[in-house]
Amino acid sequence: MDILKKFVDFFTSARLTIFLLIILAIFCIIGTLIPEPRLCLKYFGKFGAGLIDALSLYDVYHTVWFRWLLGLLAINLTICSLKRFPKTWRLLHAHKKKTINNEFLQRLSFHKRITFKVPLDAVKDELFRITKRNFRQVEVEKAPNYYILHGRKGHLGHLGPYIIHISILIILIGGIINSKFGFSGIMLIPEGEASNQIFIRSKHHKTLRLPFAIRCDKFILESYESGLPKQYISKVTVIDGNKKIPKIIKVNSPLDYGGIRFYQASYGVAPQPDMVFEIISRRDKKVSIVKVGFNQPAPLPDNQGTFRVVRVEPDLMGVGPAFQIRLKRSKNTQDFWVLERYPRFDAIHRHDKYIFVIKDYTRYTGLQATKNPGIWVVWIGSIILIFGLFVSFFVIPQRLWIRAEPRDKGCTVIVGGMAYKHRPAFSNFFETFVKGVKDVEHKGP
Amino acid sequence: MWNIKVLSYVTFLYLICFLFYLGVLIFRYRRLAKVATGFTIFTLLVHTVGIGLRWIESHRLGIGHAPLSNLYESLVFFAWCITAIYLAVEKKYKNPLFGAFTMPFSCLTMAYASFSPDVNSRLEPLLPALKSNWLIIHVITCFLAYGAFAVACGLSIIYLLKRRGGKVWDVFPSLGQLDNLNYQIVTFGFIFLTIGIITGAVWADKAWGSYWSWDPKETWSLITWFIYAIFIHCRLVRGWREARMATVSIIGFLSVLFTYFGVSFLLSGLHSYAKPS
Repeated sequence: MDILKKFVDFFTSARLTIFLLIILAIFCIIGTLIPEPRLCLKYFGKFGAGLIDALSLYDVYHTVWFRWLLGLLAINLTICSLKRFPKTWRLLHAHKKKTINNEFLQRLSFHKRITFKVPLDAVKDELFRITKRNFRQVEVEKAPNYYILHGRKGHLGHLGPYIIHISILIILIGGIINSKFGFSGIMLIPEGEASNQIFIRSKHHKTLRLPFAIRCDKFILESYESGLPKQYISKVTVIDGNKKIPKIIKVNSPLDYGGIRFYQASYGVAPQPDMVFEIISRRDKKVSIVKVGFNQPAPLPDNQGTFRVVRVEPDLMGVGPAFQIRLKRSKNTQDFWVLERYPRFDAIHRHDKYIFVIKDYTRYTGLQATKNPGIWVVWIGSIILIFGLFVSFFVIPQRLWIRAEPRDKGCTVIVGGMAYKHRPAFSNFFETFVKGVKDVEHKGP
Repeated sequence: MWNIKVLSYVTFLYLICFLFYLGVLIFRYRRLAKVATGFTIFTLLVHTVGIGLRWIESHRLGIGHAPLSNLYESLVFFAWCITAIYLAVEKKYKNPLFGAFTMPFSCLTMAYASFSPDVNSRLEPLLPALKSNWLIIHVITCFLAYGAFAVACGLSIIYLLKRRGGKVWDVFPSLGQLDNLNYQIVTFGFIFLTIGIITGAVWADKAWGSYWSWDPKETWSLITWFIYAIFIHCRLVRGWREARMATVSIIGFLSVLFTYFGVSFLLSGLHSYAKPS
């Protein structure tokens, strides 16, 4: 029984929170440090790599036990908060019972006794005013032989940690909604074609069909003068039943339609592109522009032969898009590559009557399609989290009492105050406040 | 490229600031302390002008963007944050003696940015994914947090040195005050780190369609967040104080350094544009 109690105590303790945070941090570190499987085999040998695979450490964050850890943290957070809440509740309502006598005030960490030469009635209102100016809530207790003011503010500060913990639970719930009901996949749409098919990113290569289609009208790659990419733009049309809605998708400005977000993710050579070649005659530098479809024969400018594009590689051995041309003259055939990134490649490497340069071709646009139904839950949780942090660290619960008693012809005043955190700052405030109280005598009614 | 010249001079100005503060620490002249503070404010102004110049020049080149886009620019801004936060702390606590422990951070950061061959200081156009206002908020909040953690780390080092005894340390605030200051600066940093992570998630959601993808930089910022969350819980709930807190604060800053440099140099991920090129 004792062990069970200890177990329950540990389970509901802040010690477990700290322990869980440390464990989570360690697993995150492991997750970022474990290299890809190929390198693991090299560094750790077959056994090590097998062990890493068995614990699915390649993708720690999506393992069952990582989720269990997060779940445990959530439970622990909830229980710890519930366990502490009654204490906080009492703090929030503490002012209702206490009798404010001089002993109580003198036991406070901040207190000051002041004697006035004017009677109590003369300073009463001014004391109230000065307290009201500094504290939103002021309670007054009057009796023939004393006058008590009780000011409090910043009591929201007590609730800060609860706000933070609730917001973290909200963010986790949003994450669960997204992973249960959301998806993320990629759509590949060649220019001029429409598609409603999404390839879902997961272990089992699933596809998903949308109730509407997206047509890619044009893909545009803008570059700076230096050749660095400036912007990727897809001009698309959403085809939903009879509706046709033209839209533009750019990096950092996605398209929202039908509860799904479409992002500009990639681009490339369409599988069977239409191409435009510049064919330059070596002799007289005459340039002809020839349009040609994939694997379709086209005549050479001198009409003494044909050429056709037989193969297209989106990235040939790391040199970028490449087009293989088969050139046929009466007797001989010749195969060669034309490279987009190196327009002079053909001129240098092949001696023929004509030089081929690729000018344009049909591209496809790669759109990432994502549905995150819980995203707003995550954002709302985030806003609450930031609010909770500010409340916790900057809203300081403060209380102040003034007890005045008539004495002889004048009166004595005791000012007492307390703050639950940031005592040095409160100490400064208290000093200025007491100075203000001392001046009350000279102001008079 | 005037901005690069101005910013490389700033490195030397920080060195002079450091020497002034070291002088204050050793000789304890009141007046020297004023000179040190004044000179640091002057240096921060020159630093600000340098960043402003860089912004203007980027617009003149037709690639205008806030100077917060690559490793060089982030380092420059990091040093700016450290100095600004340090000056705020100095003003609030009226103690010019921490300077000798925080100025080296600013100076070394600027020196690394300006003189390391790994860091490219050229003004370059932005990659499409980086064109977002969220990026600016993300970078500013993250670096305010990093700057605060750097100052807290400096205070923790002073704390641990002072605890070992020695007359030199008498001038610093008491151990209790140092401890309190460490905590307050960490909470400030923690708030900004949280906002930084969240704005980063908003930006990632806009640019890549995924607010959290466990990219190494994201994960390490979360690890840093966990460490400082542990720091705060140890203090508030378990009642830890002083030496143990100082140690956690230093560990936290090591994690910040790894998030900032280690991830960029050693691990690859979405944030690879922050890599030295």
